[in-house]
Amino acid sequence: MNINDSDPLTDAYFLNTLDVNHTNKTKLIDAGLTTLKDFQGLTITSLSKEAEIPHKDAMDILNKIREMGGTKQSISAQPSIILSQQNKPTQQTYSQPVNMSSGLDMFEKPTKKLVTMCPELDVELLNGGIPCDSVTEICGVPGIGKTQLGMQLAVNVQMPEELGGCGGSAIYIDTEGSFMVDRVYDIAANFLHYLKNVTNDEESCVSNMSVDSMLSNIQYYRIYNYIEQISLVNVLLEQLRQAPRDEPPVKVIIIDSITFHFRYGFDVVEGGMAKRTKLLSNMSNQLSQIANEFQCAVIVMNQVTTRVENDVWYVAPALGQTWSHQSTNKLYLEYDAQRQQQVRVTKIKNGTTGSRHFTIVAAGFRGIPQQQVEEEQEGLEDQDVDGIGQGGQSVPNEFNKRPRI
Amino acid sequence: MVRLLTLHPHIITAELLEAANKNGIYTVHSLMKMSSTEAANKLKTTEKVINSIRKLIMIKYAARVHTAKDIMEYHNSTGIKISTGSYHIDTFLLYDGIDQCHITEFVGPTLSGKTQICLTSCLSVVSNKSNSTALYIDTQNSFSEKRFAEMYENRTDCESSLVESLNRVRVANTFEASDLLDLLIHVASEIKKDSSVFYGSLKLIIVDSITLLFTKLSSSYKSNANDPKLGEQLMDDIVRLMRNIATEYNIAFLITNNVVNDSQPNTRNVVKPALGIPFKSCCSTQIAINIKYNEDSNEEEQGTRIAKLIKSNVHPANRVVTFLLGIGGVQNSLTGNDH
Repeated sequence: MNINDSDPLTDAYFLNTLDVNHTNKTKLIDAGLTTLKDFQGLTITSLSKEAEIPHKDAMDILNKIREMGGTKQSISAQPSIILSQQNKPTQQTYSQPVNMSSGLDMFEKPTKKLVTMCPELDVELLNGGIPCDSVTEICGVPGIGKTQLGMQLAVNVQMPEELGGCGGSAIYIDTEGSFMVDRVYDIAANFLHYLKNVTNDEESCVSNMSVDSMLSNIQYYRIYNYIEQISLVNVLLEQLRQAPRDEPPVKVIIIDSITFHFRYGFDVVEGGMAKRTKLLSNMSNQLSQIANEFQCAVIVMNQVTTRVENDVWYVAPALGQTWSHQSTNKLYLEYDAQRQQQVRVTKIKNGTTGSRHFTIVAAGFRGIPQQQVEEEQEGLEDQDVDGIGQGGQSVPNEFNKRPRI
Repeated sequence: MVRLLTLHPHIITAELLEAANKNGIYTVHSLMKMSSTEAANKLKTTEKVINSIRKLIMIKYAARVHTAKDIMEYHNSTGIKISTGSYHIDTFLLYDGIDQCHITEFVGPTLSGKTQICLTSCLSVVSNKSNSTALYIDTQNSFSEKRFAEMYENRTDCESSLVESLNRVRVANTFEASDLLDLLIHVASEIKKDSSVFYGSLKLIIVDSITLLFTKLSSSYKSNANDPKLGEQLMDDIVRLMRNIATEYNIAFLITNNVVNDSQPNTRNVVKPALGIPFKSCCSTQIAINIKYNEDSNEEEQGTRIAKLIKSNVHPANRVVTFLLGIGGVQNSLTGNDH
C-alpha cells in the first residue's frame, strides 16, 4: 500500500498494528497521527510535544515504525534523530495480503487423496480418497474400528506418488493408548504385499520400501492429558515448518481420539464448558491452518454420546454443537440396520454423501462389494452377530477366495 | 482528528503553519474550535485570511451529499442480480437476489447448506456475462472446485464458459481475524487503485464462515495486558470495514455464521446465532436455514432445507420458504413457500 495514498477507509488500522497502549493510542488519534505518512519527519521531541506523550513512549513508537520500514537502526538517546531519511518504506507495510488462488488454478491442480483401501468408499463416494487439504472427522461407537482405520491410514499415506498416492509420512497422536505396534506391523506388511502385487518387480519406488521403513515413517506421540494435547498442536505448526527437506513430507496427522481428554480428566466446573469449547475451537482452527498450509489430511477421531430430544434418544457425535461446525469432512462409522459395519459420509468436500460397508480383517481396513453384502445379509438374519470385532473373526469364506483388494 | 500539516500547501502557508505549531495548535479541530479573532491573533494574520481558511476546510471535510436518485442510478449502472439459486429465497426473503452494498448473513447448524448457498451465489455472479468477479474468503477449507464445476454442468442459466467462470473466482484461506482485516484492507486499496481487472469488477465477497475467526478471540480467555478488549475491537474494525467497502464500492457481502446452544432457562435444543450481541448489528439481512424434518416421522427430508427470515430491511420477518439442495447447487423447491 503506497504510503502517499491516504484512504479514509483503511487509514484507521495502521495504529492497531503498532501495538501501543490504549492511552497513547487515543492521544495519537487526537493529534491526528494515524497513518505512516503522518509520522514522517517527526523527531522524538516533536512527536511527544504534538501528541502529549512521554519521551520514552515516543521513542518506542518511532523505533517500531523504523523497524516496519525495514531499516533496523537503533535510535540513540539524542532527541535529534529525524525519521525523514526513509522516504518510502523498503518493504510493504502492514497490509500484506493472504495468498489467493483463482478457482481455475485449484481446478487444474487437484489435491492429493489418501486412499482408505475400501475401493467402494474411495472411488464412489470420496472421489479418490480422503482429501489432503482439510480436517476430516471420523466418529463412531466404541469398537467399531476407528483406531484400525487410523492405523491403516498411517500406512496408506506412504503409497508412492508414482502409484497415485501421497508419498508422505504420518504423525499419529495417541490420546487413549490404543495404538498397537504389532497390528501396524501386520497392516504395513499386507499393504506392501499389495503394492508389490500391483506393480512390476522393477518399480524402484516399491522395491525401496520395507516394513521397517514404513514403520519409521510414522511419528508417534502419546498424550496423557488435555494440556499436553493443546501444547502439541501449538508446536506442530512450527515443527512442520522446520521439517528437514530430504525426508518425506507429513501428509496425514491422525489424532486418536480428540475427545478423550476433554471428556475425562477435564474439570467441567461452572463456566468450564465455555472454556472447553474455546480450547477446542482454538485447536481445530490450528489444525485447519496446518491442513491448508502443508496440504495434509488432518484426521480427528471423535467419540459418540447420547442425546435426548422430545423423549427420543439418539446417538450423536460428542463435543457439542460448536465443535460440530469445525470439520470440513465427516465420516461416521456405524452398524446399519442389519448389523453390518458401514461408513456413512455425511459431509465431504469434492465428493458424494452416502454409505458403504467395510470390514476389519487381518490385513487391515477393507471394503466389501455391495453384492457380497446382500448375499451375506440373507445368511445373517438368524445369526447372532455380536462377534464382529477387530480380530477379523467375521471374515466370510467367500471373501478369502477373492484377490486381496 | 486531522493534522494541520495536511492542509499545507494548498490551504495554509508554511508561515501560518509554523505560527500555529508554536502556539500549540496542531490539529484542524483546535483551529476551528477557537473564534476567528483569537485565531487571527495567534497566527499573526487578518481575520479575513482565517475565514477563507475555514471555508476551504469546510469544503474539504464536509460530508458529500447524494440524492436518492444518484444512488439509484449508480446501483442500476453497476449492479447485477446475485441469485442464491432459489427463486423463493431471492424473491420472498431477499430483494431480487443478494443486495449489493449490504451485508447478508446466513445462519445455520452444520450440514444445513451454508456452503452450498455460498457456492451457488458465487457461480451466479461469475457466470454472468457482465464479467463480474467474486472473492471467496474460506476459513474452513470448504471451497470445493469440483462441486463448483458440477453445479456449472447441471445448470442451464450460465452465460460464460466454465473456464472463464472459474477464473473469475479467487479463493483466499484465512484462519485468523487479523488476517481477514489485512485482506480487506488490501482489497479496499486495490479497488481504489483501479489497476486490476479482477478488483475492478468485484461484485461479491463471501466469508465462509466468519464465526471461526472470532471464536478464538475473547477478552476473558486470552487476556492482553495492553488491550483487554482486543478481540471485540478487532471484530468492530472488521465489521466497520466490511460495511464501508460494501457501500463505497457497491459490493455485496455474503457471510455465514454458525449456531450455538441457547443457554436460557426453559429453552432446550434451541439454538441461536453464534458470536452474540456485538455481532448482531453487523448484517442488514439475516436468514436462518436448517434441515427440514418431516413433521410426522421426524426424519430428514432428503435434500430439503427451510429458510427463515430473521432480520430484513425489506420484508416482514419470520417468513419461511423451502429450497432444495441438488446436484446443481441450491435449487427451487417444487412445493413452493409456506408463509
